[in-house]
Amino acid sequence: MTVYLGDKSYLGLKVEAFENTPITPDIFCPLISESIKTNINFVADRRMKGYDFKSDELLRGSRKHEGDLVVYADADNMAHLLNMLMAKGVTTGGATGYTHPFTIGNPKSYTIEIQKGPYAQRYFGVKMNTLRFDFEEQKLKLTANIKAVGQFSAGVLKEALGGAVTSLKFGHDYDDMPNTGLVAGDVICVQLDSGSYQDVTLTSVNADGETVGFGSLSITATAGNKIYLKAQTPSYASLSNPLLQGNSLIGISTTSALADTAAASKATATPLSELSFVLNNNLRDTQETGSQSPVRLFPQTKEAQLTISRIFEETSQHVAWLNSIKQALTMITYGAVITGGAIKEQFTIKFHKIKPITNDEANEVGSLIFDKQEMEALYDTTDAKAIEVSIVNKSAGTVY
Amino acid sequence: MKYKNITSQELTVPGIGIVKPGEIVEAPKGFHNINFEKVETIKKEEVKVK
Repeated sequence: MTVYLGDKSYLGLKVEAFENTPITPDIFCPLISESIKTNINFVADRRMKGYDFKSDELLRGSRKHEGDLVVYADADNMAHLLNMLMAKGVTTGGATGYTHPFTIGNPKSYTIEIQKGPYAQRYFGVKMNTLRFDFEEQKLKLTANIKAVGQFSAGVLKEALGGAVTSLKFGHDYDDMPNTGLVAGDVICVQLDSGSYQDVTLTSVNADGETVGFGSLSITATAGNKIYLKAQTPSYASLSNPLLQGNSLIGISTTSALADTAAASKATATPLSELSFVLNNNLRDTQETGSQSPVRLFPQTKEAQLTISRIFEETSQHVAWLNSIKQALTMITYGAVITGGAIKEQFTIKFHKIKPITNDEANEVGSLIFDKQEMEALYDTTDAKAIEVSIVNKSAGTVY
Repeated sequence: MKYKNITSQELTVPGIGIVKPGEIVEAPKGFHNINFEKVETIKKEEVKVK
């Protein structure tokens, strides 16, 4: 029996050249965990057919593809996740430090792959629903809730193959267009009648929705034999280390400009015991004609919430909560110096207007008093924006 | 089977190690990575001298 270790899995990703059009992922990112699932929404067929049992069949419903990816944030992978969540502006800089700005707006779509033993689970048209930022034992952890417009992982052979062949057809049980999600250049593994699997490198994915083409191969296989997308061996291009809480400076002030100034040095920054925040696109994945899966994903109302904990020293946060006083927060997290220069990797997020919804100052025996706050990020009419992000890393803007 | 790193970046590959841009390496059976291209082995034909 062959068994597979989860540790050998990978997250592969790549921005799609055309929205919702799959592309083979070539960037690999270390993964902490994932829970992305395709929900076919099967329900028992409860129509009356004369049986004395609940049902004799399952019926398909509207498909969803969604779940969480959990990674430690480094300056490179974080830019990809933000690119699925926000609108990237024009990249500036050079090989010793590219600056990528992100603002609230429509994100790019990605194709991602996650290895499951021998096969790759591919999702395409991937966009971000929510992105949560937490510090876990110093390391900045990102929990990305993503949605996709489709998946490819495995299928079955529609028609038998024998002798020299240059194409095969997928069975239609899962979808009416079962080759959707594959790309020319992909390698699929076809179960032969002998029981072993034959690697097949695709040269075409045909518009009929069921056929794929390849260079001539001698294959003997029966209709119904299994086919799966072959998992890649990951390759990593100089991985950056996770960003750390200790290398973060947080400025909190009455305006975003003053918060930037406060965040510029340790002397003026505000030490926080805890900071986490979640950015939410409220991504629409409602069913439309054209596919059993969502045909397209649209960000709807954008929002963000923060959780902050700091040692209570004076009453300003209590007053800010009681009187609903505007504050602005800038967090700058530095990473390593980028090779060839003196510029450090950097993640900057600016909340132009935040207000506490709750402010707890609990008294506990043996403990200091803290200001524990749940904050709402608001649109700042003065600055005409709510949130802006920038990342400095070693990756050129063309990879986003 | 031999594979060539077709990217402009040095890549670290589990089971292989560090592969420089353009470098050709011997990969384990079953290797598949979009950043690498299979290098066909060219057999030199022996020239028979009469």
